Amino acid sequence: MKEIICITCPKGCHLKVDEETFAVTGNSCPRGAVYGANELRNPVRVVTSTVVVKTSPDKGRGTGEAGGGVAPRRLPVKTDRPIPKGKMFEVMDEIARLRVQPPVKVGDILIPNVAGTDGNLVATKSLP
Amino acid sequence: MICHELVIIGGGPAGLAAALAAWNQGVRDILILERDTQAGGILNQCIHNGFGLHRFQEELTGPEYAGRFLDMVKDTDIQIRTDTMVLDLDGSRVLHTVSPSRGYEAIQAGAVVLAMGCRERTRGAISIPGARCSGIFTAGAAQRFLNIEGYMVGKRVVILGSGDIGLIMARRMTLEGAKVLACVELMPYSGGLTRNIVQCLQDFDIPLYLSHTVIDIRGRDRLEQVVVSKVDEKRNPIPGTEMVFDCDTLLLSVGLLPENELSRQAGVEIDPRTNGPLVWENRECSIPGVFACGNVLHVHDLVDYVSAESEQAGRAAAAYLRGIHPEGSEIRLVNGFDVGYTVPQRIHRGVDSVEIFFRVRSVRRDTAIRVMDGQTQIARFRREHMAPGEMENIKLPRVLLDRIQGDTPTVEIEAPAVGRVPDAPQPSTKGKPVVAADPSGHTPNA
Repeated sequence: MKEIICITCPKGCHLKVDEETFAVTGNSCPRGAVYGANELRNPVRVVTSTVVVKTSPDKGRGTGEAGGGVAPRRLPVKTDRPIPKGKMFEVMDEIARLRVQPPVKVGDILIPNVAGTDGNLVATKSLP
Repeated sequence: MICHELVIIGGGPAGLAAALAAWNQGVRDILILERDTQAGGILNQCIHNGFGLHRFQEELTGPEYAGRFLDMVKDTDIQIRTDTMVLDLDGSRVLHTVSPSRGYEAIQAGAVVLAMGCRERTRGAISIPGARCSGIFTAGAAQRFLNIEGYMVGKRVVILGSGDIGLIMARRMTLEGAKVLACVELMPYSGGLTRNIVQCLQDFDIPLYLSHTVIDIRGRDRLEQVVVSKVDEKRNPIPGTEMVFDCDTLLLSVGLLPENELSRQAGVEIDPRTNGPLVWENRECSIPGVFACGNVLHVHDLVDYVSAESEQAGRAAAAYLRGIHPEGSEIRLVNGFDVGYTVPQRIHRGVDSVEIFFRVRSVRRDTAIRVMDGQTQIARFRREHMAPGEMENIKLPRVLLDRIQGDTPTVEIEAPAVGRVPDAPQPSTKGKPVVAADPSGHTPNA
């Protein structure tokens, strides 16, 4: 029996999962049973981070009427689906090597099948 | 003087949602004032996912959630003026603003929505002793450095406070290659959501020390060590329990304070329990035509609730501009046992239905929330689990509201019956059975 806390919703049920049969007890909804079994079989997480933006020095940022501020330095990104927990740092290594050139649209695929997972790395913000 | 129908102070999730709601009610002259160089507020730096589950039925990141609202604003004539600081607001709804492009301007607003959000408590606010070296950041400041500016603030990190921003930063710093040595929490429970404890600390084997605090900070120029000690029930450090961590960075995630300087300048009545304006059910403040929503009103844990509340404020501002004012005498909500505050604090008798938001003061299982009118129970809501880190809400429909005879109904948590000491006396408990507090888990007003 392995004890884990369900993270599907804020309630945080204390689940007990059988390591062989993946039977779950302690859950108060069906989603907890699915989470508990998956968490032992193949735990997955969405990875979010930022990538370096290549900028031209004369470009201002944002909608500021003042034209003030500086060009954005970082583009926020995420994996478009949960990827195996053990692959998180490999994904981070690929993100660290990436440079993007605007314009970028939210949802644009920046790295397909990042780190050999089924997930793609996508932009979570548009840069003009 | 320049006049605008509706002026909204703050272009974060609260301001954007309030503006859109007012637009949808027919207000056409709406100006949002934002001091940053881009709208979107704190969501811009909250690059993690988990936003919008209630609102959009999907898990979005902060920038994506903000982007959805910014896209909707683009389809309207709502003006967003960035790089603009509001210096002063007075009781007749005149705003004094300054920006690099327009200089100083005074604006007369028909109605104002306060949507300034909140800011983090700092080292000064919690009086940590020790050296005044560099390397001590609030978690949100470190988040901005990392996610917006692109700077790592340190390599070996201790986090004080287990609020959600601190937990999120524990994961973020770890993924970026830092070593997070510990997360230290003064209270016997975490201030953050359970899911964040699991996916930000447990996933990376970062220890969480409950009932511990930082008692010393050491370092000449840069932070070198922090000393952590266990605390007793009264939260005093226990000698002999000290642990020394070699680290270059201390992140503080020790609470948020609504940013109400402008509200105070305007003379808006502030509730000392929320540190935000005292509001009616439509989010109107004590000054007519001034509304408040989002984290400036009370600190929320989910942006989805901020959006919903702000739409309410935006709709109410639109109604005010049309000359529609809620009538009905005042019902003043009283906080009963274990209820830290309620929003709204006041209700107009005769309104259709009211959702009441509040926080409990201690962790509880298998209990209930009660609304009492003197000795009469108006409503009872069962709860399997409640914690101070999670905002609660109950909905009172018209049929229940109409049953309230008195002017001061109480929202309270059903007290467990045995072996308890009396709670701190409250004016509302007069003539009622004495309620009880859990001596171990009870939190005072923080």
